[in-house]
Amino acid sequence: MNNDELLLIKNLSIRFGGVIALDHINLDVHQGEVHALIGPNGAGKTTLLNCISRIYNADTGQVCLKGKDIMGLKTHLVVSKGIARTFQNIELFKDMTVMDNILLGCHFKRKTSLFSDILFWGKSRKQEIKFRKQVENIIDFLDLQAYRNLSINNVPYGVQKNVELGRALVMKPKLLLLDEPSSGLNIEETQDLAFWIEDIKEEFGITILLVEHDMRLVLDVCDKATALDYGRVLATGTPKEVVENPEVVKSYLGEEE
Amino acid sequence: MRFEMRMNYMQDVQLFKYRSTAVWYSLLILLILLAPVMLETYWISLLNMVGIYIIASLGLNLLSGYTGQVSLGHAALFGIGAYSSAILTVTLKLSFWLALPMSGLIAAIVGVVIGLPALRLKGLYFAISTMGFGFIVEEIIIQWESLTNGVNGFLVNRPSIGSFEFSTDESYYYIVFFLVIIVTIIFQNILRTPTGRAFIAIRDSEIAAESMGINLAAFKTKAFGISAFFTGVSGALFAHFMLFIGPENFDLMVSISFLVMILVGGMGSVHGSVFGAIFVAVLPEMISLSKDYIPDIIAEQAGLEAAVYGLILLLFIRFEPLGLYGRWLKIKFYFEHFPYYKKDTFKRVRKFYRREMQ
Amino acid sequence: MFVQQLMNGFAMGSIYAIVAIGFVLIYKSTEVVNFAQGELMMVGAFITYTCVSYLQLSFWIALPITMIIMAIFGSIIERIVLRPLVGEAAFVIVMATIGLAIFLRSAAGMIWGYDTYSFKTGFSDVPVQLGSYVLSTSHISVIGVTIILIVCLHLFFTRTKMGISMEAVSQNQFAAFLMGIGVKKVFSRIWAISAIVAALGGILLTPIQFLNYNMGFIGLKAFPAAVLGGFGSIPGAIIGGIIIGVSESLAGVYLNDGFKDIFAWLILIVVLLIKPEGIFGTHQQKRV
Repeated sequence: MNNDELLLIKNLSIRFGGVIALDHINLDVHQGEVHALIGPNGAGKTTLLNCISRIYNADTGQVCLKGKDIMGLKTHLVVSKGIARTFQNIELFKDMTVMDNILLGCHFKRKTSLFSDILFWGKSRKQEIKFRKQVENIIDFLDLQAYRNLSINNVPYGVQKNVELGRALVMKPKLLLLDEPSSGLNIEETQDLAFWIEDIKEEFGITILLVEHDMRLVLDVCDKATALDYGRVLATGTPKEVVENPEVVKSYLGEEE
Repeated sequence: MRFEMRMNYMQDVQLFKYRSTAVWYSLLILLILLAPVMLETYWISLLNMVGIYIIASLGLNLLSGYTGQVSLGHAALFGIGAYSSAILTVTLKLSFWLALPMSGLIAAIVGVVIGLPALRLKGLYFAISTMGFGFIVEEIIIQWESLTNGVNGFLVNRPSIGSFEFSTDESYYYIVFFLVIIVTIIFQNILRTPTGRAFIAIRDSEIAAESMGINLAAFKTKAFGISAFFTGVSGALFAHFMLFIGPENFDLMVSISFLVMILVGGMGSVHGSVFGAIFVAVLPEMISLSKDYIPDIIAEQAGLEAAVYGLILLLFIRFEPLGLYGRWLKIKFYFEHFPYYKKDTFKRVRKFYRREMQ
Repeated sequence: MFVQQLMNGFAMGSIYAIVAIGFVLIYKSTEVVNFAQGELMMVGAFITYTCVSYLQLSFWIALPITMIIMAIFGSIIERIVLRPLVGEAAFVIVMATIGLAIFLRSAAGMIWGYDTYSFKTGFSDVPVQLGSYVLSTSHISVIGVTIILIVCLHLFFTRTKMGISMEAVSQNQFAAFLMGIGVKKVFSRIWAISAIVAALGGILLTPIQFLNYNMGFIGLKAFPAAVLGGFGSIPGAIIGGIIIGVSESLAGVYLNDGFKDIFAWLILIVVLLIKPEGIFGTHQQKRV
């Protein structure tokens, strides 16, 4: 394993009842890379992300972050290792404001105890202000100023996706997992997303692993790609190579009659 | 229209959004302090109950309104607090001022012990288990006669400092409202810090909360513990106010009345807890007062109060699910944005797919 | 003595099962937890009482009349209380049924009074002798009716189109609606059926525990029964009810006073701690 590798997945398998969702997956993501996971629906892409972020318990295999195996890690400790994510079906806190949602991204960095929170003196106040400054930076980055104090319920779908992205970014992760970030976005919003992904890579130095169906986006911003089908890796390489791989084409479009 | 000018971060975080709000609240506190002087004893007694209910309602709202774990058994915690204080002061002859926090602590410990296994359960099952807990505690109070006097009830004294005894309702009122103000500030503080936000996050999406680094079990237990502590404290205040408690003060109907407080008042808000507590405390009085104006055949009925109670609950759920505080917000919103009132701002987003997990 | 208690337990258990069935029916299709199920039981029994005692009708005429009235009553409740709340948070709907329960209880008290009443069911009063054991007919009738009810419901849900459409509605109301299933009609019918089932429970319970406006509290024991059997499972509700009834009865004999009243809840807590899905329930994980 070389120093460049951030995420190394070895022989990862998981099954749900009789369905083998992931079958001995091997994958590696290098530091600073933007890596796409593609494949038809049901291929196991989201399941893979869920195994990495420990929402699912994989049956066998290893997930190594910077050389350390995180397979036994409890779900809520994943953030402290530097992994942040977004969800396919938007898991935002619907009754809170945009601001509060992103503020929750700072949660795991809190250093105050319950007691000092109750009294809200010195340390707690300073921490609140520090958190808010960080959130404002993200709001600036993602152009969310207009929606800052609106409840998520009242905010358009595209903006909700951005809020989820912001919530993940404010955690200052090393690895960012994005699950279908462009689903439901129109062409303009997808272009904005492409720029943001580039910015995230360059300015923040965050490594990104994203599940995507939009091939243009993949070809545009990604350095590497891996194609899955029926829980197995079909191909891995540069996006162009993978997209043109005949096996991958077959998995999406079916056989020639 | 009112505009907000944000000039520093403290403005976002402080308790009062506008200077005028601070003025109104100071006025309110002044009124609270002067009440015993201005009103008759009848009303002061009522206000005592209101204060006790406010603390209990805040406690329940933290667990059920903010963290989303609905509890049908909070009367049990209320009762544990009440009996703890009664036993500590009467049987063990401790001072009230020690017994009060200890009762809260005892209720909190019981809450955490029960909560630890129970909070693993999904919403509906948790609610049913709390209902079972309520029945079991009620029965224990009845059966453990050596400790609680069973169905015969327990006599309690008013607290005293030195030679001064708080025997009048007016004097007790000050103890109650001193605590109400402190507890309210505590709750407001919890809610503008990461702890409070974590509670709300758990309510809205457990999976996302976990992915944010929130240890679900630890935080749910914290919420339960804090909620139990304050409910226990309010129970102790209740015992020393009523001077007599029995198992019938802590049954399922009482648990339900606590839930009605937060529902009618407004779930998930401090204002809501207060409005709801006032409403539930004052309702029986309103019904008695209005008995003169309705036909005898209805007024004479023993079950009238309960019927009205049920009816009001249904009406609120149907027409004002955000509670009294929700209505208050809507009215304020109307005036603040006049004449650009947007009727659908508060429209609820409805979900039509299956939400509960089996 | 033991067998006697066993029979008592079976009879009470069957009543719990009947209430639990009505309860689970509603939960399965509409995800509504109906806290007023016990009160529906009480209202049904009171209607029969009115027919038999005030209107001097024979029990066998009062029975179908009650069932028709209850069916209509159930639909009306669904229409005015539950229908407007479709899509609201689960807690709100639960509180609505609690409010309904409180209202029905006090309304019943105001209409019929707070005394304890009874009426003769159509079955004869003469106890049946089986060897050295004496069985009261009320107990036998309870068990018998429960069995018939189970068979009828089973046939209804597996052989009719309505049963399948109810299953669809229980999964996703909106989708079922788009598929042309009359979702509103299904809701209406489910509540009607549940109300009838509840009424049957009340009628069968009256000879054993007598009729009183507080009778609904017994209905709360449907919760431990439904949880034990696996929430959302009808066979589970039945088995759960019987187990609770029998255990309660035996607890009353062999344990201290007071244990009998809360034994059902102790069982509930134990079940929730060990296997919350119950006997027949399934464990589902949310998909993200």
